Order: sequence, then structure tokens, then C-alpha cells
Amino acid sequence: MVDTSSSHQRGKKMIREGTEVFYGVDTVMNTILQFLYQSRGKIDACVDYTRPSLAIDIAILKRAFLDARKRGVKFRYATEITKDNIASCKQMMTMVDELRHLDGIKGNFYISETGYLAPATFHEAGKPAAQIIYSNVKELIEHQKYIFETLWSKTIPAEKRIREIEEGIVRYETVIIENSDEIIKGIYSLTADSNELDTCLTSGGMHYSHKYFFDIKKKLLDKQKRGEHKGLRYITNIDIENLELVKLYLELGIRVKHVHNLPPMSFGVSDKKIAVTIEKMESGKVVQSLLLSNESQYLKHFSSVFQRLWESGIDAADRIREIEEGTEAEFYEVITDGKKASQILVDMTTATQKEALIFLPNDKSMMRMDRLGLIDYLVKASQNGANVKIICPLSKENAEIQKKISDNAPDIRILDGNSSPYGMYIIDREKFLRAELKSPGAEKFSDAIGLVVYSNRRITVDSFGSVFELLWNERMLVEELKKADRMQKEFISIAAHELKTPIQAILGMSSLLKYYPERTDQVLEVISRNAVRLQRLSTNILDATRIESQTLRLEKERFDIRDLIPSIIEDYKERIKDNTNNKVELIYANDANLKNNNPIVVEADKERIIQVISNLISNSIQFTNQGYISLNIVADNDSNGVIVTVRDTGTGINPEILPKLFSKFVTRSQRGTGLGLFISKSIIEAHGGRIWAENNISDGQGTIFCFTLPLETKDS
Amino acid sequence: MNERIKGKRIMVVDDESDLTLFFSMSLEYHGFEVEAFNDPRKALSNFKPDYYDLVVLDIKMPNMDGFELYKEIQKIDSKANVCFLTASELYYKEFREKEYNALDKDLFIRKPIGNEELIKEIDRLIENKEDA
Repeated sequence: MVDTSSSHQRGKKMIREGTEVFYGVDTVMNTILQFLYQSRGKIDACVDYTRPSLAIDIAILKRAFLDARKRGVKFRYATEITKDNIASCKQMMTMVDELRHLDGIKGNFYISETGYLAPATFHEAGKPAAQIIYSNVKELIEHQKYIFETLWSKTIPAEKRIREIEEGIVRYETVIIENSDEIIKGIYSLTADSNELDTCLTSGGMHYSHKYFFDIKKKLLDKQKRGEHKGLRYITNIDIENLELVKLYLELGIRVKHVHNLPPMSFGVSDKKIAVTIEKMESGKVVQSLLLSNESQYLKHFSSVFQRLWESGIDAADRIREIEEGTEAEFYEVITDGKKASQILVDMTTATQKEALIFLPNDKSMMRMDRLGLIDYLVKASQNGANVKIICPLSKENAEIQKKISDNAPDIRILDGNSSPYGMYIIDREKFLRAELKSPGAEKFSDAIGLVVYSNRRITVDSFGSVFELLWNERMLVEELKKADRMQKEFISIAAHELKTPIQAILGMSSLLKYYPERTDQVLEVISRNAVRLQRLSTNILDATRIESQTLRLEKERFDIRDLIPSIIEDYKERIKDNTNNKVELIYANDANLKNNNPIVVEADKERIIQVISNLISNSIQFTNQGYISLNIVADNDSNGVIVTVRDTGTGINPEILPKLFSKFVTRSQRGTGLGLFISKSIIEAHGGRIWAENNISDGQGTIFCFTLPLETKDS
Repeated sequence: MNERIKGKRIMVVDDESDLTLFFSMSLEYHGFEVEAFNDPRKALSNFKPDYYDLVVLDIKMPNMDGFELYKEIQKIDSKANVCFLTASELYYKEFREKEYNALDKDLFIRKPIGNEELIKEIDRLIENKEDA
């Protein structure tokens, strides 16, 4: 209990100007009472949460407060209003002019016009202080007034605080903390109060978090096991530095994902609060400043940022495997800095090992690439065996670079493309870069491009690889159509030329008839022969057209293919006589045992088969000056087919022509429409057979043409 | 029969024997002396410098085309009066592209050509040469 009898000491003690410390509970109480009774004008008090109840409970103290009020002293009172002292505070509000709340006040002091009073306490509720400082030094009073005003400006009205407590309202606030101990406390309380907690940290930040908050997190995990917490999620850049830590966390049941490109700020977000570091977190270093907030806008924002990162993140287990197996992590970067993109493109291109697929948006882009030195890198890559394909609008402007490429790296394939709003670079099917073309006319790559996407994600690289293939095939098709158009024109020209030869003979010879009445027979023979040739040519051209338009029709019947031979042989024996002066012999290899063999029955268009055999023989005649041309027909029961072979001792086939021998318009002779073998192939294939040619290597010269037809067995 | 033509010597090279037959019969009838060859290589080995008034070469021939033969003939006789038989514009263009562009389009006789026109053309070509 407080001894009020000692109040007589007041006057004496407060006359001198100075600062003093008084000891003992009674003395302290007396000093306070004296201070209250002596004050005129106003009193400002800043006291911790234990004081209001004291002022109510200690009767003499309460009386002194009320007395001061009665005297008209203006009383301002700042304290921390809590759940526990709310009743005292309400009473206190009736005893002072203004009571306001301030979080976490420690220590107490009172200021009047003439004095400063600071009881020293240890926050033990219900007990007055055992020592007190009193001062009436003017400067000190002024100084303390200033401190009071500073604190007072941060207070909130008591009514508001009381409502918050009584109605359970959460006070929304955002603060920036720059004291490292306070920061730790802030993060600690965020963690401890959480029901769920997501954290996005740099690799270094993981170490910081582990150092200061691992223990509390273990407690949360225990809560989680009891179903009282929804668990912990981490997003970080998993690297060698934090690999072991991540493994430990995973073992504890913390979920972790890897994100290649972390946001610049590290943050934690619980169901109640967020904490964001202002500066970059580096390995284990103390955080220097922290933004703490419980405002819902911040919570929503950081939750959604976290969620997006989480969805695009890579499972920690996959990332750990990548690191341990030395494979590169997947990334998908959006780059807006042109210089950075240029550097990446250069790095990508110089690293080309096997393949570079490049799609350029306009003719100038090839020049921009050259300016970056990329053309030289590609040339080098191609020289080292890499497969380089470029699609680019080709023009006079970039003709010089095209020439540089084709001169130095003839294996690089370039196709003419259309203008496009973006360029695409796919290297080794591992890395992909796509750059929007913002300024088509710019000289530098870095100035020309807009948004750039750079990735090594399997799915991204593969799908754009396919896009490139599609574009490439489409461009190839265009090239082929151009070529086909060229060939078509050439064909018309060749056909016209070929038609003109017999026409010339017919036209010329008929005009000579009148001059050479004695040679009429000879002239007519030439005319007739050329008329036949003209007919054959026109039939060929017609056949080719039918094949092209798929209207070639077969009149199939069953017959012994060997029955066709005698008339063909007879026919050609005559022509060989005319062409080679009897130096070439036409042999039918099966002649000797024709009668002994079983019939070789096929179901085919007789006329068409004669056409094919005749074509092969007349081909051979053209290229054979001496030796023989042999015809052979064999039934091959194993393959259930007939093999017809025409072999000659002629000049053979140029190996360059051989692979495309059966294509349209390809001819190894100066005469002919280049259609005979094309038509033959189409006929044989329409019968379900196969036709091929090879140079006769075993005999050292000549050519072998073969075709097969399906054999009709007796049962069928 | 044109007196000026009589005794003029013409070499004709065409791989088609029916065509050389026609050219020979047509030209001989009008009084030219004709040497005809179906194989350009044989024509070359039989070529005599400063002998022919006109050399008529088909362009599309096996073994050696008309242009190649022309080049070889030029080596033997740079003043040889040579013309070409062609069935298509294509060869004229090709010819120009192969840097023979000193040659005039007039030096090409288009097939098919009738008897009368042929004589007119040949006559013109010999006359041009004589005027030059």
C-alpha cells in the first residue's frame, strides 16, 4: 500500500532547478502526487499498458488525477490499450481530456509546463515504480515535449482502438521496417501466426530463412500434421548452393518448386500477412529492410504472383535430378532488352553443333544477322557438318550475303520466304528464340526487335521445330511448283521440237514430190515413216497427260506374256537393221525352251505391256552401236511374279541420271520427249509391278532394265 | 534454176537422216552442191576450211550439239559462214546466254520449213556473207 503521509516533503524537494532520482515506492508515489497537484496548464503522459489500472486502483493517485482535471489542467494520455486493460482505459478516458492508443509503449513519463517525471517500472501490473527521475531543467522538458509530440502523432483515438478490440477488427497497416532485429521479429510473427505460408526466395534467401526461422517452421509442420496448418510452400531457384537445404525441406514435407527467373523481390505470404524484402537477398545475409503488410490488396497480389510462379515452376525433384545429372534446367524467358537478346542469339548460334533452323522476317534481317557475325558462324557450323536451313525473303539487298553463304558453305540451304512479323531461331533442337520484328528497316538486330522469347523447354522447342518444318515444306513446295512450271514449259518446248522433226520431214518431202517423180517411192516412205513417228509422239504426250490427270485406263485380260514376244522381236529386227547396219543382234533368251516351259500367265493390258517392252527395246537400240540386246522373261514362283529383263551392250546410263531416270522429262537421249520411261513406269505400277534400271557392271558395259508383273496362278 | 546458186557448196549436219535427205534433195535440185552428215563428229572430221559457202547445223544432236560443232569449226575456219536449224525459240535464247551473242538472230532457220522458203533462206544467207 502506498503511504500518503509523506506528501509533506513535496515543497522542499522541488525548489532547486535540477534533475534528481528518488528511490522507494513511497517516495516515488509522493513525487508523482506532488507533480500532479503542482501542475498548472497541462500534463502529457505516455505510459505503458500497466499504468491505467494503477491510476484507477490507487485511490490517492486517482484523486490527484481528478483534482488536476478540476483545476482545469489539460490532460493528454497516451497508452497501449489491450484486451486486458480495456476496462481501466475506459474509466481513464473520463478522467483525462484525451486518451489515445499507441502500440507497444515501453516505459513511462509525464511532462507538465514545469517538470518532467519518469517512473522506472518493469511492467509488473499493479505495482508502482520503485524509483523515479524528476527534472525541472527547462531544456530537458522541451526535449521531452518534443519526444511526446512525436509519439502522440502516431497514436490512434482510444475509441477506435477499443472498437477494434471489442469487435475483433483487424487493423490494416503497411510498414517498412529497417531494423534487422525488428525484421526478424516481423517475419517470425508472420510465420508463427500463419495458417498457411508461401515463400518465394532466392537461393541465398533460403539460407537466411533457414538460419532464423527453421525452428518456428518445424513447429508449423507439427501443426500441419495435426491438421492445424495448411503447410509450407517454397519457390526458389534451386542451384548447387541451396541443393542440400532443399533436399532437407523436401524430406520434412515442405513443398518446393524451382523457378529459373525469380521476381526481383523475395516475399512471404501467409493467410494474414505479407513480408517483402526491399533489397536483394544474398546468401545468409541479414535483411536490411522489409515491407510488412496485412492489407488485403497486398495479400491478393502476392498470393496470385506466388500461384502463377508455382504453376509454371518445375518440381524440385526434377530440378535436383537435372543438377545431379548435369543436364540443363528448362527455362522460358521473355526478354525486352534488345542488346541482351542479341547476345543470346550470338551465344546460341556460336554453339551450333548439329542443326540451325532459321526463319527470317524480312530481307534486311539477313543483313542484320550478318552484322552480328551470325552468317559467319553459320558458315563455320555448316563447314563442320551442321545442317543449316534458312528461310528468308530474298532480294537484291541481301544477294551479296546469299552469295557469301553459297560460296563458303554450299550445304546451307536457303529458301525464299514471305515477309513475317517475327523471326525464329532453333538451334540443335535445344534452344529456341523468337523475336518480334518491331522496326523492319533498322540496321541493328537490337533495334529491330520487340519482344523476344527465349527458351529451351522441350515442348516449346519441339513445337516451333515442327512449325519450321511446316514452313520449310511449304517453301519447298513453292520451289517445286516453280520448278514444275519451268519443266512444264521446257516440256512444251521439247515436245514442240520433237513434233517439228517429223513435221519437217513430211512437209519438206511432200513439197519435193513434184521435183523427183522418179523417187516417189523413197519420198513416200519417208513421209509415211514420219507420220507414224508423229502418231507415236502424240500418243506419248497424250499418255503422259492421262497419267498426270490419273485417267490412264487399263484393259486387262489374261494371257501368256511370252505370246507377245515373237511379233515384237520381228518388228524390232527390222528397225535394228536400219539403225545399226546389222551390228547389233536382238536375242530372245527363252527361245530355246519356250515350248517346254509352263505358260507364264499375267492379267494385264496387252497393248500397254507391248508398249513398255517396245519402249525398253527402242531405248536400248538408241544407245547400242554393237553387240546385242537381249530380252528375257522368267517366272519367279517365290515372289509370285514375272520378271522381264532387257539387257544391252550399249553406253550405259550416266550415274547422275540413274536415280531420276523414270521421272518425267528426264532424257538421256537427244531425241525423245523424255516421256517413254515415265509412261512405262506408270503402266507397270498401275499393274502392281515394279520397274528399275541398272548399269551392267558384271559384263562391264551396257544397261539392264527390269520390270515385274504379278503372276496369275492357275487357281486364281 | 538460179545461175548465182549453181556450184555453191553447202554442208548440212542433222542427226535425223530423213531431214538430211530432204535438205540434200531440195538443195541439190536447185543447183547446190551438198555434203550431208548425220553424225556431227564425222562432219567435223570432214570439214574443209575456206571451202563451203554455207554450213547448216542442227542444234539438238547427240554426242555434240550444234553450238559445240560451231565452236570447233570456228577454230578451223574463223570466217566460215555458219547458220543454225532450230525448232524452238528456247535454243536461240540458250545460245545467246552461252555468250555467243555476237550471232545474229538472222542466222537461225526455223523448222519446219518448206522447200521454197528453204531456198530463199539459204540464198539470203549466202548473199549476206558475200556482201560483208
